Amino acid sequence: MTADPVNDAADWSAHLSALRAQVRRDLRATSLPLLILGTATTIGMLPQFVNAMVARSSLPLAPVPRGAARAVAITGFGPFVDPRIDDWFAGLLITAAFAVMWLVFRRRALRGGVGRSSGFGVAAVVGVILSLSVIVVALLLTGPFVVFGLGLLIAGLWQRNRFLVIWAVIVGVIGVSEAFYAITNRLPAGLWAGWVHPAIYVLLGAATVLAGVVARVREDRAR
Amino acid sequence: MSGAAGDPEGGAGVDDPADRPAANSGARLDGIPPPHPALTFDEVVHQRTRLGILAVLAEAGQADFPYLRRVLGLTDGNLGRHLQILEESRLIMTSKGYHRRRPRTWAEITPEGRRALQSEVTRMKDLIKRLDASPELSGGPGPGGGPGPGGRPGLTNRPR
Repeated sequence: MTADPVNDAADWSAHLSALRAQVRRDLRATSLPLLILGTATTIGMLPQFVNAMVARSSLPLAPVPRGAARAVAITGFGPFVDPRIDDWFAGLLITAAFAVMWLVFRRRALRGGVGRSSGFGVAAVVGVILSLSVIVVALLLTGPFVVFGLGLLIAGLWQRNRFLVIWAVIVGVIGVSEAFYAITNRLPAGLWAGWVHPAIYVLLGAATVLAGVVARVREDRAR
Repeated sequence: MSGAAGDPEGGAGVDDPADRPAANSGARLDGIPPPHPALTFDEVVHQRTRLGILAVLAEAGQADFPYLRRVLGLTDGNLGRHLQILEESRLIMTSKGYHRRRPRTWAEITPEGRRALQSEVTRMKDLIKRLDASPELSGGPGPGGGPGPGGRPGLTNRPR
């Protein structure tokens, strides 16, 4: 047994915290996935948002319908792109983001000698299955955030990263709920506009980028 | 502080049955108070370098030999001996492979290793909590905010 366990406990506790902080810095385990995924999501959602804004400016103003017709009115505007194709495009970009993360973490493991890419590869495969198979119907129904939420949840669990798991659940649930207009349909009539639905998607992507930046700063500051 | 980096066997050698965690966990029914947390440390894990290895592997999932050596500031022989002790206790697994024709040794923490690390950290927190709760040790009653008459200099303002 140690000569002075009380002193040791305090000393060693600080030592362990410093070591863990250094590994987190080396890995960028939280910030990197959030930054890559958030950027891909935002880029994937932008066409939908821009189309909605263009449609808003080019189409004559019409009374906003209520109930189920309201949701149809939100998605049915614009002569340019079918929003479902936009959702599919965003789902593909998110899948590509998981593949990029798998490559980055694999490269880091091989070159830096730390960490592993497990989880991100599985997430990319799930994304491919959801985007490029018969199950694509599920993606078109539930929106691209089913790929985001499910993929990040798998990666977070595999990487044992609690923050990624929590973020996956929060953003996944909000995103999939919004695919059924859970937020848009609860907005006051004065705030309702065709671009609100894609704007919520873009905001979720931007929030993920912001969370990544905050995580990056915390990783750098941790000593 | 015992268990210096150059002493892979540091902290081992106490063979008192009372030191065994299984014998010390929880309150006793015969009225004897539970033992001090310092007496319940796992002798394999409660060694500064081995605890550091487990902490790094728990955070990273896996790491190779050069990374561990760099982060922990150890020599090849020293790190190898500590890894061997941890592997014999089934707290980590090591595997050998090649990358660009160079041999590499990877270490990975096992579920038992995670549990042992978690248990060790909990005991340390318990110990620090006891220290904070004890005015004699935390230096509360001492003049000018310093250690009290029975206090131990060096325990205050310690990084947590």
